[in-house]
Order: sequence, then structure tokens, then C-alpha cells
Amino acid sequence: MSGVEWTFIKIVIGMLLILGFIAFNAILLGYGERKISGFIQGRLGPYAVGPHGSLQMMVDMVKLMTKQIITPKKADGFLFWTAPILSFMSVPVLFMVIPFSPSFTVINSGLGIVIILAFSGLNVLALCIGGLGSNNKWSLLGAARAVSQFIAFEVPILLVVLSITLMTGTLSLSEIISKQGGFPWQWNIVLQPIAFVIMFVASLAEMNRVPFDLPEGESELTAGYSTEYGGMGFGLFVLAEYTHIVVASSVITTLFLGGWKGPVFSGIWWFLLKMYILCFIILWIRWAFPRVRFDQLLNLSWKYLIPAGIFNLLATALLVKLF
Amino acid sequence: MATITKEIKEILKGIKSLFVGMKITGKYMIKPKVTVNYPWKTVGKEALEGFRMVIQLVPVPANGKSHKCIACGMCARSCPSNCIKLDVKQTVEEIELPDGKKKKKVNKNLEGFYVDFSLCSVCGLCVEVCPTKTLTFSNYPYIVGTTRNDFVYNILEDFNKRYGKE
Amino acid sequence: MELNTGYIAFALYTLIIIAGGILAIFSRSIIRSLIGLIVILFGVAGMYFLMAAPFMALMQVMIYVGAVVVLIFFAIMLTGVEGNEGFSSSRLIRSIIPAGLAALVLILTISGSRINFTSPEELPLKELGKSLLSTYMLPFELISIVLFIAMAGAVVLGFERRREKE
Repeated sequence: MSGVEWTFIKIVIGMLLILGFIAFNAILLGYGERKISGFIQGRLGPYAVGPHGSLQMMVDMVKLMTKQIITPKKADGFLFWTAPILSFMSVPVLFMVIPFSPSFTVINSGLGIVIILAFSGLNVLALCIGGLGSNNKWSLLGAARAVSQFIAFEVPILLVVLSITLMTGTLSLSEIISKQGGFPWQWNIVLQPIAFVIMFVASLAEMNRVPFDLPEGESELTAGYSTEYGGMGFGLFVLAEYTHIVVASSVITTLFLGGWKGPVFSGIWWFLLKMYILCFIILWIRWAFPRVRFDQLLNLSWKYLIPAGIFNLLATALLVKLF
Repeated sequence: MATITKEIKEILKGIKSLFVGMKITGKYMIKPKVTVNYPWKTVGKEALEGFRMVIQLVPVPANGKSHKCIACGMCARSCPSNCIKLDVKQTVEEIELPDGKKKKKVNKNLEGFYVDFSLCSVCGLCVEVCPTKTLTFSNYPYIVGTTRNDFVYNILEDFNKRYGKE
Repeated sequence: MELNTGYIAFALYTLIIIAGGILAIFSRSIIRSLIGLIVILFGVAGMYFLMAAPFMALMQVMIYVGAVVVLIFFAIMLTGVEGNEGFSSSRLIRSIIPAGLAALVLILTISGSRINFTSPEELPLKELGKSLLSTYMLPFELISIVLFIAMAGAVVLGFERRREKE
């Protein structure tokens, strides 16, 4: 078998595994979100289907899939259905470059982090198309908010990634991990604490999670860009959102928390452990904080995160040059 | 300079408040839950203390067979949503007073006490106003019905069924 | 073998670009035209991949699709342009002139340049950065100055607009 074919087969197998992983994570996070929200509010959460309600998400998936597909009469059907498909399509690519462990990497690209940055930007494009295509005022407002939020928070993420790149001298995710050690004080978070905070906050904003979920703020925009969607169209949006949580957690794990390296028995379990802890914190935040106002959101990015990011970048450049 | 230090203090305060919020919600996350898995488990009798359902007649003496309703109609008049209907049979009889005069006496006999619970706002005015303290709230919450008429209760009949005719 | 897959990929990307162009030109609504533009940009990104310049391709996706198109979307959203005009010959002639000029320049450039058919090699990113900061220092700095002027101009315009309102 020649090299090209082998790579192709590897990509196909990886793609299938990734799709399974995406579905598994959507179920896990959806269930986790309901349970955590229930626990924080002193409720039990889903309890009826399966032991402790663990099969609830399966039932929900069946419900979403079997729902009638409705296109609003005045909506642009082509754009309306392009949006959820585009939103979900970009997601598997993101997983391809994440190094779960030395052997569990689909593409070991030298440009890993750039691929993630490039393709996670397609999500906001999908929100835009969906918001404009559904011919609904809530959707339009949600899409407008999504765009300005995305543009504001893309900049600090780029600055942070740039400072990490300056420090490690590479754009490849697996090499960034290999430059870090197994113990917590050997991770990048010790050297770049400001960058870690900026990255975490900006990722929350990029994937429209609470407290930055203004594009879909239920109380003011009914459901924002996804107002007109039902059934699987909505399902794809939700799937993409949960997957973005996982991807953001994976990227933060890779950049700052040492990836698959741990004090003992380095391997994929350390990566998954760190990733799921971050996912848990992201879900927890949703039920802890209220939604910010829009001017506060933009101020946070332009007045605090970006100057802090630029300062961090300059300091990193100076220190890298000195030592 | 003063504004900058103030700003920084403000930021630090904000960051601290984030952790406080996380701590509080985290504490609630591991606390025992207050709700129960309803159709399979129900809250006990103590938890329903003070729960207001449709009004009921109080037996006298406790667990006795009779009630003290005098069919005065105060409850029906005080009800803001007009959901209480009394079915009163009036009989007039002449009685002789000890001093020889004759006087008409009106006997009010309660034949039915209808409460439309679909209109009731459980405000408690009828309970407050009852001169003989005969009304009180029941506290059995698990009710179900398919038509509106299912929620029109004849609480006199219920009383008789429960405690028996006097 | 290698060459054939290259040709197939080239044909595929060309088809994608042409299809996007057709969608952009012939669609009624301006948003659909924008979708056509996105398709073209993806096709061009594929071309960059074919020329062994993955960094350029990813930057194409990140900057053009992720930022420029999104900004155009934003502009359409705020202005609400309903491009439902029919076909008009005068508009066609007016648009042929700039398009023809661009095509002429492109043809002249291609015919005047030496084309060699060696298969492209991927350049390490460090080389790219080094040549940007040594050989192509002047154009690189000029581009940053142009961008800076554009940014400053946008800020000044925004302030003036606000002052007029007040």
C-alpha cells in the first residue's frame, strides 16, 4: 500500500471515530448540563428515562430526528438549510488535528492551531447565514450580535496563540505538548497565566456560552439565530455548540495544561481528564453567572482583554529574546 | 493615578465576585436535593403542612360526625371570584316563645356546598370570614380531571362521605 | 500517478471556483451572491493547498471567510439591501469595463511570466517569515501602513458621524 492511500484510509477511519466521538460528547454534555443545572438549583434533573435519567438524551435525539422539517414560508429555503449544515460541517475538521495522545492524532500537522482557528470561524458564518435566511427579526438581531461578538473576541485569542507560539517556537499542537512536562509546574499555565485567563474567557465568548450567550439570549431574543429552527436543524446547531465546548477545552488543555502528559502514566486518559474538567467548569459557569450586557461584553474585549493580550505578547517576546 | 488604582480595585473586586459565585453554586451542587422523583416518590405529610387546596368543612369534635356550618352565606359573599355556591333549604316554622308570643323562626338547612376550584384563587377570605370557624384548607395536592366540572367540588358531600352522616 | 491526482484536484477546484462565480453573478438575492463568494474563496484555498502552501490556504479561510465575508454580512444586515433588480444591459456594459480590465491584466501577466512545471514544494513557515522581514521588507511595511491608515480613517469617520449627530 502506498503512502497516499494509507493516509487516506487513516483519515476516513479517523473521521468515523471523530463523528462517534462528537455524538458521544453531545450526549454526555447535554446530559451533564441538565444534571448540573438541576443539582445547582436543588433539583434532581432528568430522572425518568434509564438509571438516573442517563438515556434522556437518546430519547431527545430521537425526538429531534423524527420531528417534521419545517421551512418558514417567507424564509430563503436555501440559506435556511445551508446554515445548520455549514455549522456542523466545520466541526469534525477541528478534531482532526487535536493530539489526544501520541498515537491518537489523525493529522499531525505542523499548522494544527491555525487549522482550528480557521475552521472554528465558520461557525459564526453559519449563524449569520441562518439569521439572515430565516427572515425573522430575532434571528437577525441574534446574527448581528454573534458577528460583533465574534470579531471582538477573535483578536485576543489570536494574541494569546501568538504568545504561546513565540514561547514554543511552533504552531504544531503535538510539539507544543512535547515542550511541556508532566507535572503541573512544567505546564504553560505557570509561565502564561494571563494568557490562560484571556484564552478561557475569549473561548467562552466565541462559542456563545453563558455569560456571553447574547446571540441566543432566551429572555430578550426568544432564541436568537435559532428561533425559526426546529427538529434536526436546531439539533445540528446544538451539536455544533457542544462540540465547540469540547474543542475549546481540548485546545486549552493542549496549549496550557500539558495535553496528554501527566505525573504518572502519561496517555490519552490525562488528556480526557483535563478536557472534561474544563468542560465541567464551562457548564458550571452557565448556572453561576448572569448574562452580561452587550456594551459590557464589547468593553471586556476591547478595553481589557486585548490590551492585556498585547502586553502579554510583548512581554513574552522580550523574555524569549532575553533567555 | 487615583482613578487607575480605583479601576484596578474594581477589577479585582469583580474577579473575586466570580469566585464567590462559583463557590455558592458549587456548594448547592453537592447539597442534598429538595425535590423528589415525583410519580414514584412523594413528599411526606409534613411537607404538605400549610399547602392550600380546596376548602373543607371541619368536623366537631375532632373526627366527629357533624359540622358547625350555619349556612349563613358569609363565605359566598366574601369570595372575590364568586366560586362558592351554597344550596340552602329554608323552612319557616312558627314557634312559641316562653312569654306566649308567637314568632317566626327561619331554619336554614345546608343541602350542598359547591366550590368551583377552577376559579378559586385560594386567597383564604372564606376561611377568615367564617363565623363558626367551620372552613379550613385541605392539603391533598394530587388531583386530576379531564373536564372543568371535575373541579367543582361539593364539599358537603365529601364531608359526609369522609366522616359519615350525622 | 502523482501528476494525475494533481490534475483531478486542479479540475475540481476550478469547477468549484466557477460554480461559485456563477452563483455569485446570477443569484437574485445579495446574500446568495455572498454564498457564491464564500464558495470561490474555499476553491482558492484549495488551490493554495494544491500549490503546497497550506499556511496560505488556512489564512485564506481564516481571514477571508472568517473575517471579511462576515464583515460584509454585517454590512448587509445593517443596510438591508434587497438586490431584486432585474437584468439590465446598461449595467452589464458598465460592469464589463472593470472586469475586462482585470482580465486583461491577468492574461498579460500570465503570458509574460515564465511558467515552470516543477511540482511545488512546501516551505517551512520560518523561511516565509524570514523572507517577509528581509527580502520583502518594504512591501510588508507598506501594507501595514495602508492597513493602519484605513483603520485610522474608519475611526475618524466614526467620530465625525457622531459629532454631526450631536
